[in-house]
Amino acid sequence: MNSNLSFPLEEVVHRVVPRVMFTMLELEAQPTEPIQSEAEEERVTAVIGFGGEGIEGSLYFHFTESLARRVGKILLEESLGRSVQDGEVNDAVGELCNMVAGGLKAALLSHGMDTALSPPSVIRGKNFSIAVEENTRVNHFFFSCDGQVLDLEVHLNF
Amino acid sequence: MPHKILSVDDSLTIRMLVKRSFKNFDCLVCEASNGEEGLAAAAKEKPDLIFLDITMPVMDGVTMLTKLKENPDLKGIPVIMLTAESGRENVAYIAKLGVRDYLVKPFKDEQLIEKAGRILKLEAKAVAP
Repeated sequence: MNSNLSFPLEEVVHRVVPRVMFTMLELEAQPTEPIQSEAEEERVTAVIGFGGEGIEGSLYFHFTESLARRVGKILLEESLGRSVQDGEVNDAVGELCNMVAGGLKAALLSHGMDTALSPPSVIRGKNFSIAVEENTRVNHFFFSCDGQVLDLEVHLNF
Repeated sequence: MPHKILSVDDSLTIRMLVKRSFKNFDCLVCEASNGEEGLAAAAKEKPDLIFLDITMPVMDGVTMLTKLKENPDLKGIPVIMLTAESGRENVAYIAKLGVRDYLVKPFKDEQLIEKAGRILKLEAKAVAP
């Protein structure tokens, strides 16, 4: 399928991520230059796999632990009536990743690539990186959000 | 009598957001985390409206919707799909099964209220003097 060659991934990510963050949280997410985090703060990373005819890949939506906690607080604390727990923060981050994946899926479909999404999983930890296979194209997009770095890693195999 | 709204979604976050959206209205929001639980809750609670996700473990939203529409006691309950998936084919297929409306995530509280307000006569909760 040739449509993958012209797929405007950067444009789609720069549209979808700010829309999800602002609609759900009223937080601005501005695209920024790649930033290497110096601090060893824990990261909360939501992962969603996707696949279809001629394409497969995965999304890794990386939050700093403090931004993830803020997200959980905004989305959940009022209804829960108490402080959010780690598992609830994970759920909130996973759901935001699901919305970003939904936006990417819609954009892929409009380019003739129908895909299915996996449910989100969440990883927590410090200083980890994602191992990639030889044929995988890795795209990394950084955003400045609420004074923190938010980044989305998109792995694609055509 | 408050309106009963059933939120069926595997994400706690979405269920809590539905709850938050209707906190100022005379509504009772109940929850289920998959289609199987959703069918049981629908039979037990007889809600006036269901917000239903598509992709869920155990039983997905499309299967739950199909079973709901096959059940003479439950088929009249209006269903609004609330999902991150917006593909045209998906929407067309689900529309055939008889959903009342469709809301694509991300969403604002006001959009949920607006969609529900087309089906239910929402009334603000009385404030205690």
